[in-house]
Amino acid sequence: MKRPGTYSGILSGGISGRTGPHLLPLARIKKIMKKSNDDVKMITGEAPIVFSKACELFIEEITKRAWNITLQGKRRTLCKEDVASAVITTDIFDFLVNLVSDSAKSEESQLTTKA
Amino acid sequence: MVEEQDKLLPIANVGRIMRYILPRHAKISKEAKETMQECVTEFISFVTSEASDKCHKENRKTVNGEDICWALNSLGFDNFSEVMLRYLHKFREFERQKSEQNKASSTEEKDEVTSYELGLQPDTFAPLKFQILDKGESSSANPSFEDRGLQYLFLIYESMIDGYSIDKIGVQDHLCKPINYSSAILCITVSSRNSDPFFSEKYRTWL
Repeated sequence: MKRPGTYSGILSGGISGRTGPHLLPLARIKKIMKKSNDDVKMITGEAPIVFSKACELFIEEITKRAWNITLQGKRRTLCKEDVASAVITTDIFDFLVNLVSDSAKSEESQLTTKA
Repeated sequence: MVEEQDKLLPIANVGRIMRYILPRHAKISKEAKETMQECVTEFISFVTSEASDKCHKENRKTVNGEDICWALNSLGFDNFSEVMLRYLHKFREFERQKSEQNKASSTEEKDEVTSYELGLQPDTFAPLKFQILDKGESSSANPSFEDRGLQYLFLIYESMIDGYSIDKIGVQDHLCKPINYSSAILCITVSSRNSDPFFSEKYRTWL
């Protein structure tokens, strides 16, 4: 992915390599929204678009925090445990704690069955 | 297996967003991307449920963009929600103008340049958290005029204008000379990279 310098990217006419208006597929977002709750019957067209942006911010937030943990461990590869730690150490991501610890547990049990 | 993947956001897209925020030399493990995939999907479900509950209580059948923004705020993602509200209003404004433009130019050449001003609301509170692309750059306590302008520009660009590139940046002093930073207006001309139809928009915003 293109990574320009700080302002040169802005001044020369383009920051990111994004080719389309949205980074995430709107139809898939809509599907997930509908599945989330039986009460969700109708969704306006703009709701998935709002989510597309919100998800970007969400991913960026966790990734930034996870990467800090990666750096603390003097590593260059962001791994699953870094994501899990980022989730666990941030209050607003409490709703994900079970999800990340479940996936850690299932990996453990996979390793033990292999052994 | 395919069915399960259908319930999550595509891993390629998720990975792309992750890579965008990290330095060039950074690597991301596959499991990290998979975990992120699951987290984002859960995020959508979580926020949608909250928004849907609100609609239900208010006897409304349709979840709209503002409900999502409200839910984000209610669940503690207030920094997201502010950005999203602006994005939403920007988007609605853009759609409205696009449909007006389409009505007006239905018999005209499609490649005619149309420019119009979409004034953003004056920023009466401190700019939201922003990111500097280049690593090692950090915002100083008293950023210079150009720094503030360009940082803010980056914020606008990131949160508002997907798929566009910046053509021109200019500054107009608005109320007084010499240029008072809080009252200056940053003028940004952007054009769609899709170029179909080609148009340029001028954004004006307070610094």
